Amino acid sequence: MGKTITIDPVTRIEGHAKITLQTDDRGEVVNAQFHVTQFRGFEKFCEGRPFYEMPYLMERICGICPVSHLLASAKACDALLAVRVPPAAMKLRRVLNLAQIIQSHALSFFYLSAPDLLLGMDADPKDRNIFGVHRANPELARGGIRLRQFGQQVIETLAGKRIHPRWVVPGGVNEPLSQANRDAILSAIPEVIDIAFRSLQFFKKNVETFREEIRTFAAFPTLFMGLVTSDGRAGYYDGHIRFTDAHGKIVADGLLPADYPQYLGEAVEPFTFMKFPYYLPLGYPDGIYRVGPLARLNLIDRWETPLAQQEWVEFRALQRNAILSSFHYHYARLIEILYCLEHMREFLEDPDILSTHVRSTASLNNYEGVGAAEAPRGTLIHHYRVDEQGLITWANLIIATNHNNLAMNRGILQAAQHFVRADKLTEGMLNRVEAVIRAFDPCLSCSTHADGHIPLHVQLRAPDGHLLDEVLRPS
Amino acid sequence: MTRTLILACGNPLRGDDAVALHLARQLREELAGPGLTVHTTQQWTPELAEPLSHCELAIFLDASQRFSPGFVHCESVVPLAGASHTLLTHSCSPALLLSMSRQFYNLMPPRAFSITIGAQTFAFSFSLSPLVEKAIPEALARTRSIISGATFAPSVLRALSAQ
Repeated sequence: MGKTITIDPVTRIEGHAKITLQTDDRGEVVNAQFHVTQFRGFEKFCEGRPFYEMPYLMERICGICPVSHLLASAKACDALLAVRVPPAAMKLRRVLNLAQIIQSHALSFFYLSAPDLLLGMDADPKDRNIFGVHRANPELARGGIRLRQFGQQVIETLAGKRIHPRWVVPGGVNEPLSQANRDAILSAIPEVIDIAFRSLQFFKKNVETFREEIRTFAAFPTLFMGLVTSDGRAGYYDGHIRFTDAHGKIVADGLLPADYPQYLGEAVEPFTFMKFPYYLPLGYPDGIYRVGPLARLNLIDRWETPLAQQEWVEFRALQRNAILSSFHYHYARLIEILYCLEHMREFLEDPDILSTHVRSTASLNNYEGVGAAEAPRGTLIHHYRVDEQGLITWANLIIATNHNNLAMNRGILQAAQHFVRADKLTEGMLNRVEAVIRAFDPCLSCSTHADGHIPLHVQLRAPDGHLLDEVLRPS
Repeated sequence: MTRTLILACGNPLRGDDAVALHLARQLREELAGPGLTVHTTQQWTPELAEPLSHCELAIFLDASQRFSPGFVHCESVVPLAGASHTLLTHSCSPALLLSMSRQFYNLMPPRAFSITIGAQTFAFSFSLSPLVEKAIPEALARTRSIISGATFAPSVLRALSAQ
């Protein structure tokens, strides 16, 4: 008779979740499930609210990436108004999105995953935090803090506050950028580019020590999805949807985000509150795909900023065709930080960004609107329907993390089958299974946060109920 | 160099939790100048360790239900002892931030104080409860007093807090 091993909670991710591993009579892991144990209900309780409240309601979904929801929601509202956002406002929104990606990626890499990467997967859990990172590599730790601080400062400078800002409005933004603020952001960029570049070089120098993890952390063929521009660059703020396959071939291109029901299906499973989107033409679960940094780097044709372009070329040379290991989300995340900084500088150096024409106004012109943008973790879609008074009658949100749900579940199975020995559990085994999830940097709600010191109690029992092994991690 | 850094923590939507933000607004208007920075935040986060590392005086303003409503509690803040700490990005503390400042940047403010106002409610509201509202002048006076250079031994601080 098989056994069930539970990892609850999964630590150093945004939100609450647990993992169960099912073993067979021989103690081999035969199934793995990633359970998201929280429920939010935003799609339901926004019904009846005026559409113009949506950006500020929806950004409350998340404390880490509120800007992403703010932007996707504002874009859905732009569609309801059928309004043309002024060019300067468009650029300002783009800069805000880049700042959001920088701060979120810095949190994921330096605070949450670097402890594993620097101290090792088997390190004492009490050391696996930013203090441990600092002891191992003070410069890297300080750099990570500075990068996150910079991203947050840009958000605060543009939008007034770091978390849940209200600056982005349907039709544009509600205040132009002053020259003094523009200059202040620009003056900091060389320093943070240097930090991002050095962090990336450090990672590249050490990545080979994780050969086994690279081979087994959700390393399998899937599709990749993301927004790209018409000339094949990454479309962080807008663009069309592209799917590529594990051979790097384009499966579908030029898809409109608003048409997502034609190519994305959503399945549900009884063990989790998180849905399982899939590529509709291939069905469920064969339509498995991944989004986020790894996907974006796999599906673009080029990048336009010099340092990131060079790093991207090197990254793509890791493997013929597409990079399949989800361990490389970390690598991709660091390259994206570099790109976002370079790209931000380009926008800020454009004199038009100081234009005072930053908002267009209109009445309600459509009863249905879709907004999409690339959040740090992948493509984010907000879809609203309203009545004649502009009150929300229906909303559907496809959150970036959801797209990766199938891959995360399959990924923990792959890692558990490789690392977990069911007769003798070790902290390092369990941490590797958790680390697969961390590589995806899921954002399960961002309302709460579980660090590596939440109580954890895993018991391994024989078919007769006899206790074989036990791991107790106190709070 | 910022001589004085005031860090005010609170959520403007949660009733008395916003009292530090009220204090910050008044202090910013009253004491604005190159030597003083007032920073507001919804939570203590690790990134605050960096600005702490280059100030001479840090004052943490916050609300808490550990004290009776309207009570103004002052104390000096010292870094946590020991080399290893748990760092939760959602639950940092002034003492932990000082530890980070010292460990990560080899610097920390020579003087650091916290002023905590006892809160009645953190329920959803834009306004402060009357007792907490009434405590604002005293909290401002304590802050000004610290900025003006008064130094307090811990025993004096305890006595002040008990008044």
